[in-house]
Amino acid sequence: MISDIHIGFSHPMHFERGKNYCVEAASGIGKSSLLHFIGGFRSDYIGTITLDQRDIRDFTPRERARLYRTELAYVFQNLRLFPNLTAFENVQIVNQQTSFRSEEEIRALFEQVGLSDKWDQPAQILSWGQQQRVAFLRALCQPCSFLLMDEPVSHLDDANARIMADIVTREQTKRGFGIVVTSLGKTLPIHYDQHLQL
Amino acid sequence: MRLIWKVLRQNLSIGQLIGFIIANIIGLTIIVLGVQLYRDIQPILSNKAGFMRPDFMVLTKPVSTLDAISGTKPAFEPEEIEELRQQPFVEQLGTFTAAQYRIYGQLVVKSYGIDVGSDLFFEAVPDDFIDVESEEWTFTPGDTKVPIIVPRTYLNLYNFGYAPTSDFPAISESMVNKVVLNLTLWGNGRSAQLKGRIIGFSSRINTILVPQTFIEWSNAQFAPYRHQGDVSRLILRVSNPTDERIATYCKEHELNIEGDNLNASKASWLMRILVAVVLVIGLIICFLAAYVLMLSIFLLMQRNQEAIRNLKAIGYTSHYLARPYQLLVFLTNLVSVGFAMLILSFSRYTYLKYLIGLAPDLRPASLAVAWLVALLFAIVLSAFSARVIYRSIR
Repeated sequence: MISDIHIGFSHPMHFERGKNYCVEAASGIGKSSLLHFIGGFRSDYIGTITLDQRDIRDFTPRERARLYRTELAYVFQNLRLFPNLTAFENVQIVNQQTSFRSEEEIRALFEQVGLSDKWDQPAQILSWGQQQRVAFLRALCQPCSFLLMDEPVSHLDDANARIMADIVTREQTKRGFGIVVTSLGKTLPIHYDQHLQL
Repeated sequence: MRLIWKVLRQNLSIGQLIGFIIANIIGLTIIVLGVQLYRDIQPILSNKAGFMRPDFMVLTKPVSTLDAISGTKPAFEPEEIEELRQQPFVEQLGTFTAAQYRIYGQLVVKSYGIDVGSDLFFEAVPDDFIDVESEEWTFTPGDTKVPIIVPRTYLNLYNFGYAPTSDFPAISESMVNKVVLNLTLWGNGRSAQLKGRIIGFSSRINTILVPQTFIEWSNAQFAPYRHQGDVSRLILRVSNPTDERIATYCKEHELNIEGDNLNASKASWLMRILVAVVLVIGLIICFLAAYVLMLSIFLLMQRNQEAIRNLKAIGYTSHYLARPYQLLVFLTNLVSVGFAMLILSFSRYTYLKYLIGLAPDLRPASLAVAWLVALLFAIVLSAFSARVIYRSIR
């Protein structure tokens, strides 16, 4: 269970488990890059990023896979859904690795975000906003120490953003993970312990 | 795995896959057919089915012009015989003993008006080398009858060469057995009249044979002072007549092998080369097929690169993601093995009919080795592909 993430750049940042952080910056400054650096998807930076004092660059591919399965849950900016899988299958492909949730629980989550009628529709025919919600549910269907979301509500109306915020707050209370959200302006409406400017 | 396969099978070209399977089947079929054919004809090549050649050989030394002029006879020294006896390909070795005195044989069949006579020669070899089984093949000093074995070619020469041109009747083997030869032996100032009876025909030894005991007795009687030890010809029983070492040994020691026995060895050698060529062609086709498959898989992985990257981003390991592709390669190889063995069974059914016609005693080999080769090939190819796939996904 990872309890903190340290970004050892010229402007250091520190993320602790159980707390909420909002990273804000204008477009093109490097919000998405930062989230990619944390997970070790990219390593084209100067400085160090440590997860519980261990440099992410020292993780083996197998350890990274475990990290993505059980420690870091992502909602990527480009979502990274599989277009030929249905909405449910896109969630299940993550969930089946750890059997984190039952199908009933997933159905209930779909219900809450207003996607129950999109359950068995291929992701490629969903709108971007609907895909964003599928990607969000997918991130909630795995164990994690940190939930990292890259502009998760950029294409959502306020009502849907509110629903997502409620779900994530409830889950956090239950599971105690930390939240790192990047924002261009529109922010996931939850309580943040710290707002960081890049 | 179902969902993973649903993601990863995108862009899979069925046409390419079928193309690979067909090419692989062709290559594998050539390989297993080569292996099986070689195993099926092996008994013929090594003479176990016995149509190609006998496993006896008669060795002589070449007669040089100098020998002819000086009157010396090429003979084997005892050391040479001993050395030959020690060779791994020699199972048994026997020497020819020649009669050292003069022999005249006369054949009289009054009812047919036949009265022919000729100078003869006798030789003897140990009984183990004689291919005629007869209770009459015995001689004890004092006997007036001598059993004789002549080459079967002599009878053929008479029947198909001499008899038609001389208006003599053709005679059968059983008739010859009833004929008695009047033999006159002389030397050492003595002579004797004996009756000779042809008791059989040899296909193996090309000389007029009499029992060893007769030669020893008669040489002592009619040529006691002549040199008895000269061995001009040797007869060998060899473990494998197609053994290349025999030809090499004879070449190195300047020995002649009577008849065309070495041709079988050459034929066998040629057969082995042909089988090797066939196997190499099969291997090349199989490797090309495997190469095509690998290219197809690489292309597939290239097209699915983003999906693979996204699967890794949600926690799937390279090992896990490589598995569907590895399984695909393994299954296509397995399908190829199945079809190749099926084609082999059909082809074998056809060619065995001809082979058994050629060598009725032939016992065809089992398919076990062909199965083993095919499966081994599929496993090695799959293992190699699996490694390449994993490395490219990683």
